[in-house]
Amino acid sequence: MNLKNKADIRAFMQAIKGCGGNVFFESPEDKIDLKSVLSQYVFCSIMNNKKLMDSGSIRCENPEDYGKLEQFLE
Amino acid sequence: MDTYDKRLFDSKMFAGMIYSGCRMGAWCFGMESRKMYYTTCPNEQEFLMFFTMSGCLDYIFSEKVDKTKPVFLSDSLGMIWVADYIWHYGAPNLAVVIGPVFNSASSIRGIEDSLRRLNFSIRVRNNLVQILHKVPVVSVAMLYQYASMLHYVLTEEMITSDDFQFQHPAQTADRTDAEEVEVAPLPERVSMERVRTVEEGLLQMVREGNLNYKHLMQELTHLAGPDDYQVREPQRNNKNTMLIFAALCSRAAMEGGLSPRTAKNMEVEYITKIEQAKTVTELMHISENMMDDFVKKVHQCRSHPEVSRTVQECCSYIQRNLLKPLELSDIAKEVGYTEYYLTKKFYKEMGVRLSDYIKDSRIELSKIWLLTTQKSIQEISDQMYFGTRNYFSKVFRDKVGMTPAAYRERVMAASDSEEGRKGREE
Repeated sequence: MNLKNKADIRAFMQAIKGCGGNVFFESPEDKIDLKSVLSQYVFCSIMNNKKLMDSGSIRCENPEDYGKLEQFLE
Repeated sequence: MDTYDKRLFDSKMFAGMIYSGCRMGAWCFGMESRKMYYTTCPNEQEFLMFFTMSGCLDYIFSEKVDKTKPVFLSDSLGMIWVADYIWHYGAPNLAVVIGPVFNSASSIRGIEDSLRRLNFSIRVRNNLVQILHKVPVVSVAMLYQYASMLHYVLTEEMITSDDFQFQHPAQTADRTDAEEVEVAPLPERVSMERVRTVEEGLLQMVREGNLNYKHLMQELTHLAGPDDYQVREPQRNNKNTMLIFAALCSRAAMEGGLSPRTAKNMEVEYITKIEQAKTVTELMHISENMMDDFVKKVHQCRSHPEVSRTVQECCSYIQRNLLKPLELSDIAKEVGYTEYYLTKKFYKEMGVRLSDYIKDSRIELSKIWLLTTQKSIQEISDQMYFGTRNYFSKVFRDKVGMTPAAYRERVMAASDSEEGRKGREE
């Protein structure tokens, strides 16, 4: 699933904290663990890069976590 | 032009001045709308996201902040911002933020090292690195001056560093990518972010041989709590604090160019004095002399440098990476020399073999851990890459004259005996 265009990044990161399992941004080249602080910065730094963002998607380790992130994903 | 318009105009002028002066960005947010009105920061979308994600943006609007004074904010990467407010009709109307800055170039090098460990693609890694390289490095003392100037521009009031506010507690996260040392919980009454910033500022002054360190020293003295290590006897706490600071000063002095031999001798001399001190005032006196001595020695040696920049960088890299395997090939690659040439050069300038320098540095850190953490000797040995506990004990005994267990016991026994004596006296 992909992050919505105008998603509130602070609220999104807070919601990830509440997830039971790990949440990743995965592309063919990278796997960014969004629960890790430094990786969150890496993710933020590519959010405005459409090409990089389009090359990957958000994946939750626990399927039930998708519900917690529903408002941010499309 | 009324006062409010004038202050808004002045704030924009100030934003332009600090950007042209040191590439420090500035931001303006509406207090009610929380929208950004202007910024001079490059990569504004990314930095705004960092500011938002770290919770700093929410913090400047929060009730906790006194809107009549500047507030210092920082995030998990060590970026620092300062916020202050423009008032209109008796209420804060705009928040003007300057930053981000790093207070040390080593902050960004540390982040780069961590990024390398995380195995991202070069494209993704460089994306963040290039953005972070736009963050200027500004010393704590300079940032205090910019904060005072900003406050004057927005209020026409003079202010001193005593009036500054600091965001706390420091942000916490579920997990960080850095190695962490397990210690007893710290008291909440002291902003550890502030202590760390001031401490880093002081160590930077040792590295630079900067003789204008006294105001920061005074601030650190005001901030340091008497019970940081949760041990039972107050004097032991003061001594522990100073022992660690002596080791940090010694490292900073080496990074500043002082020969390891001189720095080490000074460290040993001050550690002996600290251990022998009987009163708090005596310790305070030693503390003053120690800082002065290290700063002056570095100042002297920087006028006549003995150690090349390459070897200094090598030492700095080793100190930053003591908890990693530290292969010679990695160190050589980091400083851009062949292994053969680097080891020769290192020995020639430092009078000690590179491998011995790594071992010595790890033993020094082990001493601090033995004193201040509950880690077992096996754990320390493993985390310092000594291979086996026996080998760690052997190296430790060769350097310190006793085994790690004996060292820990002896310090604890000294602490108990001082406490017992104090009890009897009472």
